[in-house]
Amino acid sequence: MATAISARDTNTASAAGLHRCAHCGLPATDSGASDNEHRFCCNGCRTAWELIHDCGLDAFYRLQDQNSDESAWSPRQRRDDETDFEYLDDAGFQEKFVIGNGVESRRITLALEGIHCAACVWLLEKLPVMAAGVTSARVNWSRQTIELDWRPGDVALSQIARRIYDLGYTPFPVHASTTSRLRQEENRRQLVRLGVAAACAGNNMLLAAALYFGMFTQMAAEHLTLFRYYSALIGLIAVLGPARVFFRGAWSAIRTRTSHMDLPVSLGLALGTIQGVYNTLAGVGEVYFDSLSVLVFVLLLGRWLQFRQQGRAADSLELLFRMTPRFAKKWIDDRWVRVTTDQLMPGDRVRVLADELFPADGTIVAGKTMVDESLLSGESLPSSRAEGESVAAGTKNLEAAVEICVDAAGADTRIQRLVGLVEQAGQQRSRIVQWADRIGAWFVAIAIGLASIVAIYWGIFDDWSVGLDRSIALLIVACPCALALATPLAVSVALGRAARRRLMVKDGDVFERLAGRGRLWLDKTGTITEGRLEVRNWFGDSAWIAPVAALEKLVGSHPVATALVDYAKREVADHQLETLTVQDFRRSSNGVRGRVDGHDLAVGTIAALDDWGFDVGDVASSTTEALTNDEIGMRCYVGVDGRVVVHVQLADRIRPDATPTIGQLKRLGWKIGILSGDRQEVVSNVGRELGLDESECHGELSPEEKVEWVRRSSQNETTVVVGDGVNDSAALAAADVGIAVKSGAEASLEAAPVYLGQPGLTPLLSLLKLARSTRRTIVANLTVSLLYNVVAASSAAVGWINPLVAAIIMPISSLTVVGISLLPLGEIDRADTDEPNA
Amino acid sequence: MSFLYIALPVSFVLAVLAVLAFIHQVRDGQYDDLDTPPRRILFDDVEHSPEDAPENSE
Repeated sequence: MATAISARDTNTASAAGLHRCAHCGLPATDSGASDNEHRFCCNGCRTAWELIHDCGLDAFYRLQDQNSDESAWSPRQRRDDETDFEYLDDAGFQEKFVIGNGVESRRITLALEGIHCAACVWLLEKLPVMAAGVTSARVNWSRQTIELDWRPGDVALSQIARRIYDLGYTPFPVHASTTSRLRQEENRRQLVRLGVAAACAGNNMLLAAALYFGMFTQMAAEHLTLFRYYSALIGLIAVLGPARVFFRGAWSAIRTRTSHMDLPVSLGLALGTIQGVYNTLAGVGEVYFDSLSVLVFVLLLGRWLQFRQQGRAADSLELLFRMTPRFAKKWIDDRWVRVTTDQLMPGDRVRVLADELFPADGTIVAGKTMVDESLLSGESLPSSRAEGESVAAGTKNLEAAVEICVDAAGADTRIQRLVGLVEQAGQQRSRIVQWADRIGAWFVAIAIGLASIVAIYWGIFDDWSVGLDRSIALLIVACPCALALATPLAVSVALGRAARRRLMVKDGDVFERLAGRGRLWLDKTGTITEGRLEVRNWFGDSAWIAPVAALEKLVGSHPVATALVDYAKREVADHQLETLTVQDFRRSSNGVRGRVDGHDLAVGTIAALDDWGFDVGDVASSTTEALTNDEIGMRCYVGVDGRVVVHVQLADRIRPDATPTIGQLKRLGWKIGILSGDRQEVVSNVGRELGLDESECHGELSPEEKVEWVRRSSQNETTVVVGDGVNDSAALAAADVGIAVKSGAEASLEAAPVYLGQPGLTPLLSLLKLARSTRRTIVANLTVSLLYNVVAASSAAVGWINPLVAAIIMPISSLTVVGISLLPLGEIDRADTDEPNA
Repeated sequence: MSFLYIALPVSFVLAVLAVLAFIHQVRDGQYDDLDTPPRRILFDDVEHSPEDAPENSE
C-alpha cells in the first residue's frame, strides 16, 4: 500500500540511490517523466507537481509531511473518460447544477475524490491562486465537496475542473439532494432554538443567583419584584419561543390520540409557567422560571446532539450515491453520446463497456457478459447475464461491452432506494432521547413535590421562612441537567466515535444490548470469508503459473484473473513475471487466449477451451473426483498448445483477521456460531479453521431455518446476527441486534440497525468494545448525578446548604457528566481510536 | 439601587443583540460544517514563493 513519504524520506531515499516521486513519494522511474532534480512516477504526478510549484505552493508538501499520519497518499489511476470536462460548460448542465447565471459570479458544489488530509484542504482552497477567475473555494471535509465561486467571464468551469483534476482530485458535480438540504435547514432551526434557549437559561440563572443572594443582603422589596418580573419575562421567552416545539409535538399527539413524550414535558412546562406567572403577579412564593429555562435548554440540547449524529451517519451514506458512475454513453440520433447519469430516462439505450459500472437499472438488449453484483447481493462470484436479463446500477460489468435498455434511473434505482431506506430508518426517533424527556419531566415533578413537602414540614415544625429557604435550596440544587443528559450525551459521543470508524449505528439502544454478553451468529460468505476468490489448489505443472498470470494480467478486474495473478505473485519470482510478453491476446465470454513465450495458452472454463479446440478429455475427469469433498468456489482450466494440462481450483478465502477476532470475541464472553446456507462440510471446515465447535456450525440452512435458530437462542440470551446477503435479512431483523457488513444487500441494510462500513470482523470487535465503554460511561454518569442529587437534595432539605451554595454547586454536576462522557473509559486501545486508514 | 431600572433593560438589549447575532451566524451557514475548520487552522499564514521548493524544507 502506498504510504505518505515525507520530504526527509525522499532525500534519504535519493541518497541511497532510490528515487522517489517528488509528488506522491512512490518509487519513481528513470524514464521520461523526470526533470533534472525531481523525479516522478508518472506524468500525472509531474503535471500536479509543476502546477503546485509554479504557483509557489510548495508548502503543500510540508503540510502533507506534518499530516502524514493521517494521509494514505495513493496516486489515482487516470482514466480517459474522466478527463473530459466540456460538459460542465453546457448551458443545460449549468441550469441544473449552478447557482446564479450572471457573468460576474456563479457558484457550484463539486464532489472530489481524493481529499485525505489537511494539506489537501489547504491546497484546494488555494485554487484562486492557481486559476484566475476563481473568487473563492471552500472545502467541506466531511462531505468531501468543494464550493466554488467563479467569474464566468474570466474562466470556464471546465478549465477549473481541469486544474482540480491536474492536482490529483477527480471532480464531479453533485446535486444538492433534497434530503440533505432539508437536514441542513432542520439543523439551523434547531440551532436557533438552542441558542435562544441557552441565552434564556444563562441569563435566568444569573438572575436566580441575584435573587438568592438578595435574601442574605436584605434586598429591597421593589428590586426583588423587578428581578422576579425580569426572570418571568425571560422564562416566558424560553417557554413561548424555543419550547414551542414541545407544545406542537404534544398537540399533534393529542390530535392523533397517540402517546408521545412531548406530552408530559409540555404538561410540566405549562404547569410550571402558570404557577410561576401567578406567583410573580401575586408577589408570593417561588418563581420557577430559572429551572424552566434550564430544562428547556437541556432537552433541546439532547435532541440536537442526537440529530447531529444521525446527520453524520446520513452524510456517510451519501457515499453510496457515488457508487453509481457519473457518465453514460447514450444512443442519440444514431450515435453514442456521453451524458451525465442523471440525464438518463427509462427507455434509453445505453452502452456499458467491460470494467465499467452500470449507470442505471436496465435490461440487456445486446451482448452477453459477467456481472459482479457483490455490492447489492453480497454474492462474491460473478454471475453471467445475457440478452433479456436485468442488471442493476452500481454493479460492475466484468467481461464484454453490452447495450442495456434503462428500466429505472436516478432515484428509482435499487441502490438509490437503498439509500432512501437507510435514511428513513435513521430518522426514526431514538428511544434514548425519549428517555431523557421522560426523566426531565418526572424530575421536575418530583423536585417540586419534594420542595412543597419540605416547605410544609419545616413550616409546621419550625418556621415558614425556614421552610421556604430550604425548599428553595432543594429546588436549585436538584439538577435535571445531569440526570437527563447522562444517557444521551454518552450515547451521542459513542455514535460519533462509531461513525468516525465507519460503523453506522442507526439506533442508540444498540449499545445497551451489545454491552453484555450473549450469542453471536455469523454468516459465512462475505462475513467470515473475504467474498473474493483465491487459488486453493493448482493441479498440474507449476511452470505454467507465470505464463498464466502474464495472460490474466491483461484481463483487468475479473475476480478469477485477480486470483490467478495474486497466486503467481506469491509463488513466482517477480522478474519471471515481468519478462513474459503476450501476443495475439483474445478474450471470449468465458476465457482468454494468447501467445506467451511461444506457446498457445488459453485459460477459461471447460466449455471455452473446448470451443477453441483444446483437448479436454482426461484432465476434466481425473481431477474432479479428488475435489468433491473440499470447498469449491470455481474451477478453471489451462490449455497449452491444444491440450488441457492444468486444473485450478479457486475458493473464497477466510479473512486473515477472522481467527484472532473470534478468539477475542470469545474472551469477551460471547458464544459464537455460524449460520450459513452453504454445504455442511464447507461450514464445518471453516468452523474448524476458526476453532469453533462442530455443534456451533450450521450449514445448509434456508433463510427460514436461520430465523428459527435466531428465535430459539434469543429466548434465552441476547442474540446478535452478523450477515450480508439477502438470505440473511430475515435473520438480521429477528435478532436482538442485526449487524450488516460492508458490501451487503439492501435488504440486510434495511433490517439491521448497525452497518459496518469496513470489511472484516475487526470492526465488530471495536463496536462491542465501544458498547462496553459506553455502558460504563452511562453507569458512571447516572451514578454521579443520582448521588449528587440525593446527597444535595437531602442536605438542602435538612438545611445544611443554603440557596447561595446550592446555586454555586449546581452546575458542577452537569460539568461532571459532560466530562465523564467525553473521556474514553478504558478498553478502547490506541489502535482502536485511530481513524481507519482503509 | 435605582440604576437597576436602566441597567436591566440595557443588559436585556445586549442579550437580545447577542442572540440576534447568533441567529444571523446560523442562517449564514457558519455552523453547517464543523469538521473542516479545525483542519484549516493555522495554514493561512504559510508564506509561498516560487523558490520555496520542498528540498529547502527542514
